[in-house]
Amino acid sequence: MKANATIVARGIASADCDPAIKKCLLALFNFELENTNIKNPQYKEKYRDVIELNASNWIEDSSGKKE
Amino acid sequence: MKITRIHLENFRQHRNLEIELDNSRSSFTILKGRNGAGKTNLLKAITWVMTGKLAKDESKFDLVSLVSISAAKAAAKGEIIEVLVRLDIDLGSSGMAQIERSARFVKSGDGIQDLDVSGTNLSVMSLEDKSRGYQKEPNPDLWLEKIFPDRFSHYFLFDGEHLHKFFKDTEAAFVKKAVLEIANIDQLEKLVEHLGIVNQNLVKEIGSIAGVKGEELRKDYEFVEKKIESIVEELKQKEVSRVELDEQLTQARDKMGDIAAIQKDIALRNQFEGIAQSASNRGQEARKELNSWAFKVGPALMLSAQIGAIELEIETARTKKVLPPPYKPEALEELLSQAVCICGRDLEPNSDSCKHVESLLAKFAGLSEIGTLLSELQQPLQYVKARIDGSPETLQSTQERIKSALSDESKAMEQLSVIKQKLSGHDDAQISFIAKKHDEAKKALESLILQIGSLERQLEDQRERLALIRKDIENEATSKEKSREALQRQRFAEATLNTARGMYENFSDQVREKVAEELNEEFQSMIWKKNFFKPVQIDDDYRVLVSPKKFDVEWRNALSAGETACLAFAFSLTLSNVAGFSYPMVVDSPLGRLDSEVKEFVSSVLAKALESEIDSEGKQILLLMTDSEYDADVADALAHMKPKVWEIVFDEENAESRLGAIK
Repeated sequence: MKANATIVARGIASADCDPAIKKCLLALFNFELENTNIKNPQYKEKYRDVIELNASNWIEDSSGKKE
Repeated sequence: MKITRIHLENFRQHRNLEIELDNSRSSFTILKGRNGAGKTNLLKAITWVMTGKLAKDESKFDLVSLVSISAAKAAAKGEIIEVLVRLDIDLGSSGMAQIERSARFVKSGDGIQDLDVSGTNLSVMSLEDKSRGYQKEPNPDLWLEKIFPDRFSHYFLFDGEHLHKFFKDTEAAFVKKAVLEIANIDQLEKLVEHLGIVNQNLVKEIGSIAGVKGEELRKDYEFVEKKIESIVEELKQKEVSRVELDEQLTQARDKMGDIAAIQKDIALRNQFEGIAQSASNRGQEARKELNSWAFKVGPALMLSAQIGAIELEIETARTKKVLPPPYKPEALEELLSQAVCICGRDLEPNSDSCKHVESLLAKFAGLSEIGTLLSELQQPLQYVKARIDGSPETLQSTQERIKSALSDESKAMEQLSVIKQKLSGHDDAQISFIAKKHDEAKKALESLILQIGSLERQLEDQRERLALIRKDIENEATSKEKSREALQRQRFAEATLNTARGMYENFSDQVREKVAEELNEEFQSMIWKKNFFKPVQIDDDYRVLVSPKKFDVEWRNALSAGETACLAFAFSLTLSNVAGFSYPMVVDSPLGRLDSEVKEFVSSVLAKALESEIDSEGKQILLLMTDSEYDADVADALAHMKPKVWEIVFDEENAESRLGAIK
């Protein structure tokens, strides 16, 4: 195994989960990679934006689980 | 990644040193030199330029200590001295780079210590595109951290004499970081952490817009959140203390071996010292009695012997008729006064008969005294004899007691000698001090573990409370139109967080198992006890575990120095393999702690392991070895790897090192 960033990225891409969650995770993971060496990245705003962008495409049932 | 040139200026004893390293696919270099020649300082220089530290745990050090003494001595007051280390590195397909770290000092006085730091600098020039030439990196710290993460450094730049520290429990956190970082799982971990915080903020946001009740719940939520934070913080501190106490306990054990066994030996030694002392006392007592007996009976014995001799002499004299039979001279004198003998013979004065009796009286006068004396001595002689007759039993029993005391003392002394040999090198006061510290640390640790348990329970309670408040917030939000959108956002964030957490756990386990598997393969290929150990494990806490197949105990502390060296090299090679990076490995005194017989074995297995690494990964290895380490046997074992061997020598006159003969 020659592990590097693509392992996690591929893992996320091939995960069996809601496409909106997948998109959100990939965007957030890329953000973390880009900011690897920044001690205190301004993540809160970015995370909120990414969540807001993808949450509207996520459909959940009444019990809080995705349909 | 390979180092192609090392350039040092005024770094400790290296006034001006330049080493060109082989940058071919397989690069194996040995730099040998005597103790103090500057090998360790070369490792420190490489560590400094790459990490800004001198070693993993030496982030705080006096910069002035880097300055070459001869340079400080030669500099005039006010002059600037620059300590500089530059590495030229080959990054393969990513090009070339030049990393330079320097520190400048102003000589403020006449003494060599009169140096003031005037500045430090790190610069990186990278060459990605030959047509554009070298470009200065705008953020050299970030660039360096990216190509050679600090957390990895001590697994590639290390001192072989400290290999035993490589896998201490306190290292587990570093192992975890290194293992997770190699697969970028640390980024996923960061994502989970950040997402958790953002999710909590979203919960609070819902509360804020869900009316008065919602606002109250938000405040509650925040309160519990802060409480959790403070418990988590306290737990962190307790955990640090627990690790420190664990470390103290390990140190106490490492330092004195098995303290309980030593203390048992000390107790045994004290017991045998008591037995020997008591036997010695008994012996002395018996000797005293013997002396006293001899003092009392001795003269009597001598007298008895003398009297016996005199009696014998008298008896002999009588037999020979030299002595008369016992008689009374008064009777003879009576006869002389009456002038008539009992036989009727005339004893008139001057008669022949009278003269004969008178001569007899004169002749036996002295001898008669002896006879009288003998008669008088008869009674005390009987008494003395009676006493002497009983003495052989007393003498025999006293002698037996002395013998038994001597035998007991000798046996105890034998045992003592064995125990003292076992205890040699251990100082009673030191042992009892360490045992005391050990017991204190053990008690403190037990109490701390209880406190941690209690805090964990509190944490669990508070988390349950937080979950209940969140549920209430959600219920409150569901009834309010405007907060439904915020609720949807938060639920999405939470679902994303759960998915990320699951992925993190899954990846983390996969990589940990993969590293353990490769580490085991490397380790097993190096040791000769192929069937002795179970596969090497990296447990959930990232402790590297080695246990023998037959016993269900952790064996890491009992690994031989050679096996520890193999495990450390195996770990370094594994990280490099799994990470898919090829960091240069610089090892000072790689065989430093090994016995001469083990050295040859370890160097040959290392050679074998490194050879396959060099072939497969194009790895670079620089070993810094003393003359005694790189002896003929080790040289033979490594010869087939065709190492380039340099010699570093210390020039005493100029107090600086230089490169010597090249083989």
